Amino acid sequence: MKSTSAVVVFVIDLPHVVRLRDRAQPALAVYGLSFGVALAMLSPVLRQPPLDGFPLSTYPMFSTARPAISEFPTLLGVTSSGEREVLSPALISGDPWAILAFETVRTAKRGGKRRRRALCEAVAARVADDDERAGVYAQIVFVTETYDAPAYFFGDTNPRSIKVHATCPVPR
Amino acid sequence: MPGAALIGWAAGRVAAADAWWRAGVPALRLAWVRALVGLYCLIMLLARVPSFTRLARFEPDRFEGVGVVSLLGAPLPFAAALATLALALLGSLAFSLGWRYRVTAPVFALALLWVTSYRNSWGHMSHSEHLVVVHVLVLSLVPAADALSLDARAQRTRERDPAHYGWPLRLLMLTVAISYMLAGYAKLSNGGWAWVNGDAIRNQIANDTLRKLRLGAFPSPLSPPLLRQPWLFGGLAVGTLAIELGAFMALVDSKLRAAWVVAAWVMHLGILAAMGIAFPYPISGIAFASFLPLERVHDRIQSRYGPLSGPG
Repeated sequence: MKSTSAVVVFVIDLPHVVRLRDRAQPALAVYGLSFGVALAMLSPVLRQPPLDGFPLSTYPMFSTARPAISEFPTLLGVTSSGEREVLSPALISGDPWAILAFETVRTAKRGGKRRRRALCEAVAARVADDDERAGVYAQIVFVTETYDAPAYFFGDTNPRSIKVHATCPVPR
Repeated sequence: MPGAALIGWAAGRVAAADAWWRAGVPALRLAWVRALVGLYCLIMLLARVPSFTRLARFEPDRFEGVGVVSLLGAPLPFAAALATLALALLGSLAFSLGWRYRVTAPVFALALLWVTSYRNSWGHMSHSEHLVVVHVLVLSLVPAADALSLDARAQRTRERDPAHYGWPLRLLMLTVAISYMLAGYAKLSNGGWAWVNGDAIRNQIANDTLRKLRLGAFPSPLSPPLLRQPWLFGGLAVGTLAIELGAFMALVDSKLRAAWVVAAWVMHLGILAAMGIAFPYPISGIAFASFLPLERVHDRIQSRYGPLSGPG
């Protein structure tokens, strides 16, 4: 009983404690906005599963424990003598931003045979329109290469495996 | 009576927390934060114009709306997308100058939210824009143009009690602290022990560098030599976690504030050097502007070059 009345007195007294009646700066506005913003920012991790949205995020950048041996999907140019060479983000996605090229390749890889083929042909068309590269490559090949990423920088530069998803000719 | 003592103690704690949260600061400090954040947005939006116009060339099936833009089922017509960008650009100018702030600031905040959400709706979410958008949304709702503004110069507003300007700055600091703590929490919950012992960060940098090489992009020239020093990564990982999870210390301990800001800034320089990934908002220092007594800088500039603004 005593504790109940103590809580009631505390609640009644609360407006005075936080100057709720301060008309110049209503505490409800101050704390409503403050708690609202804090809760909104924490909300992505309170959801199940956590949601990385915009502008509220779980900030998952660099957080996953990637294995040393990883897959690297990409599109390569194949010369007439059969050598495979890296292209550029602009040729791969139509935009010079590297991360967008990566997302384009990854989405196509996950999207099935038709999307892989479509990306391969789109890249081949961009290569055909590129003055510097058009004559160099006969084919475009969409592959996933597997490397030991840390070992690569100690000289182990050969892929552990290569899987071909699509091949398409560069239009003449 | 234990109940009364408890009430007295709790009331005292609440009053102390209230006094701390709403402790006054000069109007100029909040005004400088507004001006700097607005200027940052203006430059960021101008820098985004080329990439924004390139969106028109992307296949529409690449569009997947995030945040408020998830209301859209398909991309906007190019002219409409450009119109929102133009509105945000003009809004950033009005925001940084403090012109008709009560109207233009919320309009700008919503325009910025829309434009940045739209740009992040094409297959990759850039985590460098979240915090600045949150800051603009907060600043648009508080009296951040009572000084150093065209409104103050035209006497459309006036400086109030300093208590009006302290809590918005603490709220901005809190958003910074939460964002860093969430990043630290994500590393521990997703990476676990591998993040603490440095394996995760080493593999991240190796993966990122090799991925860029295989896509024909240019990785940071520093990352290959760094990756050949594996003993470094344990220390880098612990340092990163300490900075991110310790962000709240900067909020509650004014003595640690400057040290934390410098440490966080250096961490972002390290990410840029190791991975070539820039987070322009913290690297510019403007993400941390709310932590700093900017009115002192104002005073120094005024004593050297004369008055910066009229009334206010």
